[in-house]
Amino acid sequence: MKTRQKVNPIKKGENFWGYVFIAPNLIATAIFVLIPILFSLYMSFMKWDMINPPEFVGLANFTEKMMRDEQFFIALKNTAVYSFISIPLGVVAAILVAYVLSGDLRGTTVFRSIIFIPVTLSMISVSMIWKWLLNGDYGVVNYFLSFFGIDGISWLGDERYAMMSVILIGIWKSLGFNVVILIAAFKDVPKSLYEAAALDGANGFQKFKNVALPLSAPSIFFVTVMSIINSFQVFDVVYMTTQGGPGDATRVVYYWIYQNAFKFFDMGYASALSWIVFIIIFVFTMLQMKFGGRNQSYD
Amino acid sequence: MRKKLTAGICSMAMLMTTIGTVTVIAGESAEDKKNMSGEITFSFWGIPEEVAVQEAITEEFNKEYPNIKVNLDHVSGAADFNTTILTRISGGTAPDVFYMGEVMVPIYADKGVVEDLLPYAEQDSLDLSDYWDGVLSPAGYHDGHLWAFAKDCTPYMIYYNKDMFDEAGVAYPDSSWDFEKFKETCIAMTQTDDNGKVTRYGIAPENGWPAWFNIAYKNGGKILDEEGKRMVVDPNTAEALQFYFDLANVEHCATNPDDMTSMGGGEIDAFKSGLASMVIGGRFMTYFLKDFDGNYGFTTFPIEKSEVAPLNFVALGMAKDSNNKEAAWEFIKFYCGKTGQEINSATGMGMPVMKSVTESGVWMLEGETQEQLDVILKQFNNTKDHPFHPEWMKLMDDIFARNMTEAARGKTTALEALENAAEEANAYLEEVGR
Repeated sequence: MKTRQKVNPIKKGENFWGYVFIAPNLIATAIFVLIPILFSLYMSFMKWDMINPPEFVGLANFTEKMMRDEQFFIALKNTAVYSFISIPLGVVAAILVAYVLSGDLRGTTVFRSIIFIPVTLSMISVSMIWKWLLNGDYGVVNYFLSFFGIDGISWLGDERYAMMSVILIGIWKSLGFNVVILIAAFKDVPKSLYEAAALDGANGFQKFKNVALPLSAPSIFFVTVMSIINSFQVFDVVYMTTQGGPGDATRVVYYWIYQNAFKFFDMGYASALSWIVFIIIFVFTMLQMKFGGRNQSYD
Repeated sequence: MRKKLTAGICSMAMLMTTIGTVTVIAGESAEDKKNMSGEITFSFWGIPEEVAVQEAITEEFNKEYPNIKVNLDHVSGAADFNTTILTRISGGTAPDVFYMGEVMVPIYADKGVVEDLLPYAEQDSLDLSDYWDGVLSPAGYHDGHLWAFAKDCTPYMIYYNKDMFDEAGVAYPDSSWDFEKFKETCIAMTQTDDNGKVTRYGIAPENGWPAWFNIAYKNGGKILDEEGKRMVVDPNTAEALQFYFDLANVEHCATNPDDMTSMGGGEIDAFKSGLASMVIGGRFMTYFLKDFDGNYGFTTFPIEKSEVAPLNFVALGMAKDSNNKEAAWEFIKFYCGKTGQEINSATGMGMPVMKSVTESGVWMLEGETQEQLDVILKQFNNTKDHPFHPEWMKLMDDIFARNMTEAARGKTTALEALENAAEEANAYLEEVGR
C-alpha cells in the first residue's frame, strides 16, 4: 500500500527556492518556445491571413490543400535528396577529419581553428562567398578545374549541379561544429584501450574501426541527429544562392513554408506544413534512436 | 557620396522654403495648420539615403505643422516590410502612415486595413487632376476610392552604355524602335571570343513581372481578362514573351535566368561590369548607376503594337486603426504635394507623381537633358495598370513567375507556360472563391 511520503519542511523550502531560481528560464521558454509551438499547432487547423480572424477549417490544411499542393511535394522530395546526401557525407567527413585532428600530429591546433571558422560566419556571408567561388565565368573553382581540362561548369545555374553545390556549401559550413564534438569524443577514448588493441596486433585502421568509432558512438549519434534536423531545415543557403532554382531543382520545404507564410500570408497552411516537417524529423530521430542509438554506452 | 546627396536634399529643402513654394490648400490657412496637433508614426523601408529624405520632408512639414510630431520608423528590409506591417496591424499597433509597394495596394484594400483617402482629398479640394492617372487608377480612383497615395513612380526603361555603342559604331536606341530593331541592336552589341563564347551580351534583361508585363503590353498583350478576375492566354502576350526569351535562348544576345544565377550577381552588376551593353530598370537605376564608370542613356521599351506603359510606384497608406487620422492625412498630403515631391525625387530613386512637378523637370539630376525628360513624359502620358489583383502574391509572384521562368530558361515555350499559369491561377481563384 502506498503511503504518502512526508516532505521534510526544510526540503520543501529548498524545492520552493529551486523553482524560483529556474522560473526566469522556465517562463522565457514558455513564452518564446512552448506557446509559439502550441499556437502554430492551433493555427494549422485554421485559415488565417494575419488580419482577419482565424477561421476553423479542420484538417483541410493537411488533407485537400496539402494533397493538391504539387510544389510541396517537389520541395519535400528535394529536401529528402538534400538530407540523404548531405547527412552521410557530412557525418563521414566530420568523423575522418576529427579523427585526424584528434591525434598528436603537428599543427592540429591550427587546423582545428581553421575548420571551425565557417561555423562562426553567418550563412548569408558564407553563401555570398560561395556564390563567387562557384561563379561560372570567373569563379575560383572553375579556374582551378580548367587546369584539368574541365571547362565552365555552371555550378548554381545548371539544375544538374545546383543541388550538389548547395549540399557542399552546407557541409562546409557545418563541418567545424561536428568536428569539434567528435574531436572531444575521440580524445575521451582511454589511451589504454588503444594500447591493448595494439598489443592484440590491431593496425591503425582496426584501432579506428574497433576502438575509436564504437566508443564515440554517442557523439556520432548526436552529430547525426543534429544533421538530420539541420538538413530538413535548410533554407538560408538556398535563399541566398539559387532562390530555389534553376527551375525547381533546389526548392526545399522550408523555402516553401516561408513563401506560404510571408509571401502569400497563409499562416494556417504554413503552420500545417511546419508540423508535417516536424513529424518527419521526429520519426527519423526516433528511428535513429531505436536502431542507431542502441548500446551507446561502453563505460 | 552620401554626404553629397544629403547636402543636396537639404539644399533642395531650403530652396523650397526660401522661394515660398508652400502648397496652400483651399480652406486651410497657415493658422489652421499651426493649430493642428497630434503624433503619428511613419514606417518606411529604404537605403540609408532615403532616411535623410524622410528627415528633410518631415522637417519641412513641421515648418507648416509645428504641432504634429512625426516619429520616423525605418524598417531596414524591404523584403520583410509587409510582414512587419501586417503583424503590427494584427497586433493593434499599426503605424499611422506606411509605405506600400504598388502590388500591395489592392491587397491591403481587400483586407480592409487601410483608410480610403479619397474623402479626405475631396474635403480638402485637392486637385487630383494634377496627378498621373497611372498612379491614381491602381489605387482604385476610377472606382471611387484612393486606397493609397503614390509618393513616387517610374516607368520601366532600357538603359544603354553609350561608350559601348560608340565603340561598336551602333546608333543609340531611341523610342522609335520596334521589336525587330531591338533584336538587331542586341545582336549587334553582342561580342564573342574565338571559341564562340559570349564575352559581352547585348542586354541583361530582367526576368520578373515588371519587364514581362512591359514587353507584353508593348505588343498589345494582356494578362488578366477585362474584369481583371481571371488570367487569360493572350496570343499577343505569348508572342511578346517568346520574342523576349528568344533573345537569350535562340539569338544568344541576352542573358537568361540561369546565366544570372551562375554569375552570382544581378543584371545591374552585369551592366556595370561591362558584361552587358543594355539593362532594364526603372528610375532607380539612376541611383544605382551613380558610381558607374561610363556614360549611359535610356529610352523606352521597343514599341510593336502599342505605346502603353505601366507605372511602378511606392505609395503611402493610412492605417484604418490610426488614432490620428487628420494628422496622418496632412502628412500624406504634404508628402505627395509639391514640396514633398521635389525633395523626394532628388535621390534619383523615383519620379514625382504630380504632373506639374514632373513636367517642370526641377527634379532631374545634373546632366540630364530635356530629350530624356521627353522620353519619360511620353510614357507617363500613356499608362496602363499592371494586372493588379488582391491575390497578386499567389497569382503573379508564385504561379505566373514560376511558369514563365521555365520559358525564360528555354525549357518550354511562352505559350505553354502561359497556358499552365492560367490553368493553375484560375483553379486557385476558384478554390479561394474569387
